[in-house]
Amino acid sequence: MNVVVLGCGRVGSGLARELEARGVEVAVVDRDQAALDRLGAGFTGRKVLGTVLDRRVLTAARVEQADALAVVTGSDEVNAAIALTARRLLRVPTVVARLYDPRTAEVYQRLGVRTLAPVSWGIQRLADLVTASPLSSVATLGTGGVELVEVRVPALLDGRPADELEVAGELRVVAITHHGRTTLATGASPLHSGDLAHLVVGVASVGRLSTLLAHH
Amino acid sequence: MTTGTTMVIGGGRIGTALARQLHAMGHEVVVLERDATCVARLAAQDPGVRVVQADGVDPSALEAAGIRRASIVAAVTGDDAANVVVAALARLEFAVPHTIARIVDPAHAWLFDPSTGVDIAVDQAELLARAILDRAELRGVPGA
Repeated sequence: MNVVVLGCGRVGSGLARELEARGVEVAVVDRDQAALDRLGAGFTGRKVLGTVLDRRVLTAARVEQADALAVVTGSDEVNAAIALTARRLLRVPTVVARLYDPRTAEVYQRLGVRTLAPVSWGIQRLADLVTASPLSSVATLGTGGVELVEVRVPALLDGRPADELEVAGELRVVAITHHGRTTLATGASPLHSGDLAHLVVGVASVGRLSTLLAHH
Repeated sequence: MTTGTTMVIGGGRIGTALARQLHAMGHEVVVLERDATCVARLAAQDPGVRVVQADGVDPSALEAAGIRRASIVAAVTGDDAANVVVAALARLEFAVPHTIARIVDPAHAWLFDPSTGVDIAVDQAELLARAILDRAELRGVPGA
């Protein structure tokens, strides 16, 4: 897989290094040499100096041949314009843009561009974390009726099957992390004290899960 | 030109001149400008033109300003990326029949494409250069 990252700020440079660590072939574009230097000596991907609005610069980064493009410059306008053009004119299969305004996400999704509003996303996540019960909510699924939560398996559940934590239509154990390894769970999968159990829970049933854990 | 509202995005010199001419021709025109000072100046200079303080790249602002009733959207801000985004939203999201966008820097002309919703792209540098040559030729300037 090869990915082009447009913009080499904190997000762009970190993303490029992360992708490289995952074995992805990466090219990074920025108009500022100092920004490209953030990538450090260990980065072996291509670095292209130039403005992302210039077609020759994108061609030098081989955007037309890329499997995916991440547009993460500091400007929403530039990110949106380049993402739309890359998707619709250059036909890049996957295009993701950072936009600070999260309200526009649905519109861009319809136009073929995936968007991420990191500040807004971070705020939501922080709000979730500071208001969370001992059950740690990892993600909200779909439109918000279902939460993915993780709980530390208490000693009293040691050796019991996962379905002791299940209630049909309300709670289900989907995975268990045991000694640092996460695997999908069935109702018969054994729980061990100290494991991390990953559950999907209807929001109305979060209290019920707390009760179940307390009773064990 | 079709009847119906013309929405001009960007109330700088070009947007102002365009709105004034459209208004003088009897067209209904609304200008979106994000800078409050420009909005105030425009409203004082051309009381007949409707001016809204709003960011044209924000889909909900476009909708609130009545883009669904517009037959023409002209994106004439000083920012090429913003002009492309406005045209794309106008055509692809709001199905505006005609979109016109201003190209500030000729190096960005490739972004102004029918696939991104731009019907007519106006390259100001090229246009002005041609106008200068035409006038020089009319005056019989040697070499023109």
